[in-house]
Amino acid sequence: MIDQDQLKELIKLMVDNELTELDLQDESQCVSLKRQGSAVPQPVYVQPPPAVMGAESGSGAITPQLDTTSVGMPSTEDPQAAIESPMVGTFYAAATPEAQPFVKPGDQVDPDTVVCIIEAMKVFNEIKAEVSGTIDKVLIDNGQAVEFGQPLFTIQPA
Amino acid sequence: MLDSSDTNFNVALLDLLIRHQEYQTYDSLASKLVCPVQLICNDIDGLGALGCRFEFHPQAGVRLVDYGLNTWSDYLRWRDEQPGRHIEIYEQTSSTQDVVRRLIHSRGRSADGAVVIANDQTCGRGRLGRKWISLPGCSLLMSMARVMPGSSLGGDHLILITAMSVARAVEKLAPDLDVKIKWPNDIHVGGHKLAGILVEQFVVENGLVCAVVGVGVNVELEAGDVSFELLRLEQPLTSLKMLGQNVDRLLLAAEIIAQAEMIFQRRDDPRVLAEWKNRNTILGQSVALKCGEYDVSGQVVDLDPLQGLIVRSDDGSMLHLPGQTTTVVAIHGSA
Repeated sequence: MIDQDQLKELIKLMVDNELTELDLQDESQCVSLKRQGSAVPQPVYVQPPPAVMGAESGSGAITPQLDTTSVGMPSTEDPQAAIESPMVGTFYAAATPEAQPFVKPGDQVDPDTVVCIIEAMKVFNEIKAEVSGTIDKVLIDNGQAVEFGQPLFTIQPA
Repeated sequence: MLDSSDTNFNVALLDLLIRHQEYQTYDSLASKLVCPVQLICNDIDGLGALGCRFEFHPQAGVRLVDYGLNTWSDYLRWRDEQPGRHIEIYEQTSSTQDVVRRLIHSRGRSADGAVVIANDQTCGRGRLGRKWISLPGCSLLMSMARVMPGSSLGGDHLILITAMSVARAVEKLAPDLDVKIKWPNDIHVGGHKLAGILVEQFVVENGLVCAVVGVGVNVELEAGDVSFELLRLEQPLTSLKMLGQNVDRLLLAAEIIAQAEMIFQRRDDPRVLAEWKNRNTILGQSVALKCGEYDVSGQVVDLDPLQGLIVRSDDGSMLHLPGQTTTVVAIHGSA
């Protein structure tokens, strides 16, 4: 059975070579890995036949079929050193386009420090650091879409 | 902050006078309120002391010209079915969103349901800190606190509840209007924006998930007003007055609060979801969308407050576009 370190090696191989799919097979095991090419949530193609969404819908609407075959990528090599997005949405580094960013590299933060805003469905969610430390890098551009668990900042823990 | 809680006045009389803006005789008022005429006269004097202005006619009686802001909090409490709601009314404040945020920090869980209304805002804001411009007294500017245990109710649900509340409240007071929701957070009539909703969500120190739900409704705005001209640079705009509707801001506030509570309690009722879908302007429409960095065009065949949009793209593919990162760029019309 493939172990965790081997899996990490395969994932690193995919990332380094910008591979979106990797299939390995031998006599005893089969490994299939998929990753998205970017952090942006992409449209998911829905396969027919359609299923009705809810009894009240009546519109012949389709239940979204989420692709469950993808293997989640590790967020960072050291998850303790990153502030991750708790939701899918759009990243904003500052409260307004003209304002200074909530944090910048070198800033000291504590668990209650607001580090960014994630907009999801026009709801503006303040994201706190949840840890104490010093901001190392801002990993996301302002206005960029982010996924659940995606690292937003690297941080040197206090 | 304006508050009339240290005074007593006849709120039912005020309600009658607001709802019927024509002259009413003292006898008819006394009859409707089942009280002596003398008491009506005394109560009108009491309302006058709070800043209400009246016109009197020897035969037709009395009509309310203006009731000022001093009466708002008591009136809203009187109409409210949720006892003990904290209500603050301001002649002017920086932003009702900021006042509610302060209330949440100071009151914690007990701030749930608190309402703040301002006649004027100096730093009103829309999404992403964009300035929300309004003229004093022309808009209903209101924010409400929601303090939720855990994350059981997402902010996206609050958008749905608030959009539905505003739509129903406006239609109740202006039955001629067909109020629509431009997914996910704008209220439209005839393709023009009547109201906007802003939800800001955060976690306070003790782990409570809190949301500040802001509503701005264009009530008295008129074409030619500075704010109108600035706002319509971004999108087509309208107001209740421009739509020929004489709607009172206080009645509208009371109705939105009532509808919000009712829909909040019934948020899992499939009929609420069905009505929300029917009110959405993009359902069935041919649209241009942006999903993250992707441009998508096609017909919206279904939408879900949590899941996003189901779109039949122009090449025939069925796409599920996550609501979190999808925005409507243009609505081209029926497909």
